[in-house]
Amino acid sequence: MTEPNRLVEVNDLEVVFDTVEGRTHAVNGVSFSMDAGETVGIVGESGCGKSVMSLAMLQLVPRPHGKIARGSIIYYQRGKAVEITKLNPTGKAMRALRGNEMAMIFQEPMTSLNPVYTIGEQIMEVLRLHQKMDNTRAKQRAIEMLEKVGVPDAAQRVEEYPHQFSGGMRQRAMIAMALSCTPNLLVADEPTTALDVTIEAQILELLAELQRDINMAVLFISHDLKVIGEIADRVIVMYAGWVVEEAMREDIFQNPQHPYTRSLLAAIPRIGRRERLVSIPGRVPSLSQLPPGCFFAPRCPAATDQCRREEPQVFTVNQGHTVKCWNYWDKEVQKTS
Amino acid sequence: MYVYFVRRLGYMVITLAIISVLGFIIINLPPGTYLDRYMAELQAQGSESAQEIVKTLEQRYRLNDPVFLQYTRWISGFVRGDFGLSFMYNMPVNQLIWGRIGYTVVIALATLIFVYAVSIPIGIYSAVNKYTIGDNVVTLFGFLGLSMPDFLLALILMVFAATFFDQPVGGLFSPAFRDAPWSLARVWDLLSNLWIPVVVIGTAQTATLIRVLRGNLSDVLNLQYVQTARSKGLSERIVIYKHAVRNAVHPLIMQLGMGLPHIISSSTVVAIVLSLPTMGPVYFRALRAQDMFLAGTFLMLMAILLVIGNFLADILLAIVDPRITYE
Ligand SMILES: Nc1ncnc2c1ncn2[C@@H]1O[C@H](COP(=O)(O)OP(=O)(O)O)[C@@H](O)[C@H]1O
Ligand code: SF4
Ligand SMILES: [Mg+2]
Repeated sequence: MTEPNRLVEVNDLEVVFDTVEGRTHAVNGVSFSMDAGETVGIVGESGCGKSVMSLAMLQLVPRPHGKIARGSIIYYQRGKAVEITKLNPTGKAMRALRGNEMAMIFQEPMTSLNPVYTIGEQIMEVLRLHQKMDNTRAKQRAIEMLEKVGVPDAAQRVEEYPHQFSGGMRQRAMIAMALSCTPNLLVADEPTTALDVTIEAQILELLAELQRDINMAVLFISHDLKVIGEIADRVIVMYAGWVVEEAMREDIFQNPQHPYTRSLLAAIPRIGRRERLVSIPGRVPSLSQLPPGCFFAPRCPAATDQCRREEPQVFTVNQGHTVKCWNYWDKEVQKTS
Repeated sequence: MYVYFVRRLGYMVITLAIISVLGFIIINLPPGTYLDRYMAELQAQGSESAQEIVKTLEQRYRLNDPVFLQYTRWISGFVRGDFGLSFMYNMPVNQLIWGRIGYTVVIALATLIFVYAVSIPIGIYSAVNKYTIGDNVVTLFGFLGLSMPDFLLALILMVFAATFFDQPVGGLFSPAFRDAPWSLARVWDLLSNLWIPVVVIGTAQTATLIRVLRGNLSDVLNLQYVQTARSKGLSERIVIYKHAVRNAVHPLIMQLGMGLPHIISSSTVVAIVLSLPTMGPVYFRALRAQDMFLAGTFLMLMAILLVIGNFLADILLAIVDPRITYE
């Protein structure tokens, strides 16, 4: 039975890349769901499959090497389930959703806009395509959108090119473009990572505000748990293509269960904190040569022989809080016996 | 922008002036002059009056003046459209070259169109379908075209045309039209014979441009804004042609600026093999014979084409890419 408010369901999704060096498992059986208007954060170190996951949401996994090997993504279009992983990635049905009902913004505001077209043209293009607006209306709407995201002198700047915008302004323009058709889902892949802290705060605030306005769900991806803590209602912790822990924001911060989540928390700098920052020893394993058992075992302080042998199961901590770790199970078993 | 154009024109004039001086010096550089050779020839033929003939020529063309004076005289004539006299043909350079320039420009333009019309779609196809069978076939033919000497390709095509199309070997016209006055039928005959030189002269450059476009476009296709374009729901055709190709054509435009003179000068061998009535073979002979006004005129016309071509390419580049400013 599905929730009436359900917007997206990802079931056991696996994304692989086949290259000359062999097969890379970027996303390994990820499942989660999102409700309308909700903000879900995905956090994890770089190289753990977050960008690939976010591209998969719009069926944009780079071809020809990458493909969705297993699992499904279901999008609820006005309550009706559409299995988008069954749609042809370049076909009409998928393209009618992209930019219209599901939109995306990217990490690099410097390179995510096309340098040879004006900001206005790049926004108007979406409006002409999905909303069938003519040039005059599309331009009006583009100016409106730019004003909404806080670009000053929007009527003039709509005629300018990306290189005439600063990094922060470009990300605002990008947001204006993504939201111009009032999508139900926005996938934001590290949208503030390339910006400095002040601008980052402004953009986060802007996103939250716009999101409330149009009741849009946001899948917010970041390597920075602190940023995720500022914006997300629910947090998914990813490691080497796995979801290792999922919980409401408060639970992640106050009751983290997975050793990886704990080390991410320990790595957040806090004002007034005296002790040295703990950075996580070791690195994300190569996704083309994953170890047997738990992928985190080589870096985990609590790793046991079982961890190195068997893939951990997913355990429920309490409602809406799950963790993929043998250690949790061990503790629970000890408590109850 | 206006200021930019004026300054740009100024630079063009200065460039041409420098080229004309250097060119004139280089043409005069080899020991001896046309007249020395001419005299030797006359004497070898046993002419009694060799000395006198050469003297009169020397006086008529004032060839004993210092090089500097000769240069000034030639260049001041040149800007008025008087290109001096050819010793070799013993007639004004003017009369000698216009017909040839006509054919040369026709062939060069046709080649240019051929090169771009073939290389752009194939380059795009190759980049979009990288490492597929189609791309590999294109790459193979590209290397073949690049490595085969022009004269060999010319000979192969001539045999091919003679065998399968019953076309005349060499020249731009069928025998029936060779000396006929201009008519629609003659134009048609020209066009139907044009393809051999066009293919021969254009193949290497086509192969190069396919390579350049393939490499450049496949880089652009990996850039973030192409992904952005896809995320907007645009069709793959629009993503590629509107968003990617426009960012990948810079080297092709720059090449366009150098294209015409390159085609003209590199087609000399082809023109000799195919006996085409173009500038190349005459330039070649003029250089060997030290027919300095003839050679100098060709050199200057080529330089003018180059400079104008580059100017137009720069303008086109600025139109295609707004980041390029008129500075
Ligand atoms: N276009 C691609 N071709 C091959 N492998 C890729 C490609 N894109 C991503 N990958 C693989 O997927 C893995 C996860 O990458 P990514 O999702 O970008 O990580 P993150 O965004 O978490 O830093 C990378 O380690 C890389 O090996
Ligand atoms: S399963 Fe074992 S190795 Fe993996 S995170 Fe849990 S304790 Fe560490
Ligand atoms: Mg990433």
